[in-house]
Amino acid sequence: MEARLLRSLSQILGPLALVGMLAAMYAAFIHAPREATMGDVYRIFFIHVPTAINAYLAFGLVFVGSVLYLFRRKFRWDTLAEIAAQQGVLFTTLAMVTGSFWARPVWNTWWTGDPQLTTTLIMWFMYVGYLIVRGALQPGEQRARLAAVFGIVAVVTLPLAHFAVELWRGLHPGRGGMDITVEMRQALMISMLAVTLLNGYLLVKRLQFAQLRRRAEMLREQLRQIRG
Amino acid sequence: MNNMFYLAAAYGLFWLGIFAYTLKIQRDHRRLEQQIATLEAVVDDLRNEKE
Repeated sequence: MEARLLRSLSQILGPLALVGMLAAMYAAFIHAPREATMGDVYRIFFIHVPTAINAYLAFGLVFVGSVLYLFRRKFRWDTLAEIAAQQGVLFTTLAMVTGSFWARPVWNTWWTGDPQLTTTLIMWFMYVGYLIVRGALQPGEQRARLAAVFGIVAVVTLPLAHFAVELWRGLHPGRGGMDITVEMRQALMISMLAVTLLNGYLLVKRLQFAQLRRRAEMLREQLRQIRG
Repeated sequence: MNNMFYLAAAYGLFWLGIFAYTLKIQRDHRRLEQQIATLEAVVDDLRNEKE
């Protein structure tokens, strides 16, 4: 049942994500006009913002998976938390890299101690730590329980990173920090949807992989039993 | 200031990251499917031998 659902989701999300990303590229490079002060480099914003938001979504799923594991004690929630953490780290890395390529020509530096950047880096370290702790422990209930507690505690870095731009004065543009036209807003919405579809597709593929891994473990166990 | 380099590099690295991750998932998937097929065949053979 679950396998069939994941297969159907993968078959739907894959083409949608591909079409969405192509539409996002069109919207970012052709539909959206050039920005008056920054020129074309501002177009990085169409990939940077959705990537950062999707990192938050993935880390939010780590929290959901961790809470559900503690309540239900089902390993599928622990697996969801692990996969979401890996994807969150990937998306945060991409957001920081694309942000740096925007910062260099606009701020004349790759990186500064800006509150938004610092809190994002703290969030990144927190989830990298989560994955390192997981990797260091033997698979089983104890690891899942410890990871769940870590996954719940780590969620505090999310609002910290997201609202840093409003809580502390810094260089990073906040909401309304740039005058955006209707076309720019449309391009941002399309990019947001496309990156979210991509994130969902990758997540489903990883969940399918986790199912295959469980199947392989079951077969190995059967083999051990047959061989006595 | 030639900003096009930074724009191209940012999008290039984004796509490279996504592409590498997708490729890794697909490669791992394929390898595991092959392992499962082998394991299934071995389990079936051993069961038949015992019967």
